[in-house]
Amino acid sequence: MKDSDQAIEKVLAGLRDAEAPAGMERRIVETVQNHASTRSRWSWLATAPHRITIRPMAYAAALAGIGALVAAIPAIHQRRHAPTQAEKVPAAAPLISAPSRLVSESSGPPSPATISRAVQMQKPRRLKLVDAQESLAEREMNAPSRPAPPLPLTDQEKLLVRFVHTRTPEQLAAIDRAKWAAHDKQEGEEFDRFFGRLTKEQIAKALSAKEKPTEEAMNKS
Amino acid sequence: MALGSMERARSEVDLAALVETYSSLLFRVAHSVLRSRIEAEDVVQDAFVRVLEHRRSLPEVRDMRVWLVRIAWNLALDRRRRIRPEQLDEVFAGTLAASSVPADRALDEAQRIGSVLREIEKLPKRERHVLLLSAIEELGTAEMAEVLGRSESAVRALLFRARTRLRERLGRGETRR
Repeated sequence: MKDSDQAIEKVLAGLRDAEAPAGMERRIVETVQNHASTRSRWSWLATAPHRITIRPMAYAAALAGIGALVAAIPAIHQRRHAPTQAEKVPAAAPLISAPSRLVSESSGPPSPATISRAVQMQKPRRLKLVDAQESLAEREMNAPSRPAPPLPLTDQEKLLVRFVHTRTPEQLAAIDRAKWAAHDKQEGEEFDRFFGRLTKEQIAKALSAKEKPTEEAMNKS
Repeated sequence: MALGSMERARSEVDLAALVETYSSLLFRVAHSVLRSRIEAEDVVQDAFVRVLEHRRSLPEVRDMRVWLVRIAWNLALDRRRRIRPEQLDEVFAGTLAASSVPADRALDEAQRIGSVLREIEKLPKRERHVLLLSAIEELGTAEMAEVLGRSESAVRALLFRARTRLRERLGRGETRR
């Protein structure tokens, strides 16, 4: 019994006399300070519920705004890419038309599920644009390989074509303005030479010559 | 901003003072449960981190010493449930025996101390807790009662029963040998 008491006392004394390791206080202070600095970085998260209780309407409105923005992003994205899809869908249409016709011939009336699955399978894959050069490369890649059809003639071009087919070579040559002007001048000179253009003196002389015989006739009478 | 930094500085100063004043006591409290210096230091660290987290309620604490001891005590009990205490008890018994008797008797002494520790662990929980807390000299009966949430008379009765029971069991063990 005495040994038991001694053993108990020894154990209790050992527990009582336990000494802290050297530098424990310093380590604890450092740990607590580190914890405090880490905690202060995230303290705004801890105080968020308190702020929400202070101004619930403001935070509810902010949350609703964020939700609306998140909901609007896909719609904006879809609208922005709508022309691209419209350009690509007709190109894919001939590819899907044949299989869907085969399906409809082999299995009676076409079911909407089959058609929708075919369209989904032929959906063109959208390339991710990295920069302007890649954008240009993609446009070049998607450009039609055959030459563009001829454009219709303008009114002026139609007139020219009609002129070429109906007029003589001389008239065609007269299209040139300089030649046309020279031709007009030449014609004018020929006209003058043939009919003899009278000067003012010649006109006055001709008029006086006409008046003299009439005066003589009156005098005679 | 300035107020926040001042408050932080004040809390750091207070915490440093608390660590300096109470870390040894808290270490012994934790060590009485865990019987491992490393584990006990970890518990003290955790206790002061808890203090930091509840520093807003520090002014409301009536008895800082009891409050801190209770935190360390509960943390130590919680940690003991997660580790394997048998190995720690063996190491502690060996260290204690080596420090108190010559080397040729150290093995027997370590076994004897080991058997006492095992019997302590077999005691009813309340008695065990009172016995372990009584090993810490700085704590009086009133403080032990406050830490354990019991009356002082209940603590005294539990301590008496614990010692008696332990003595009987150890005596029975010796007579079997």
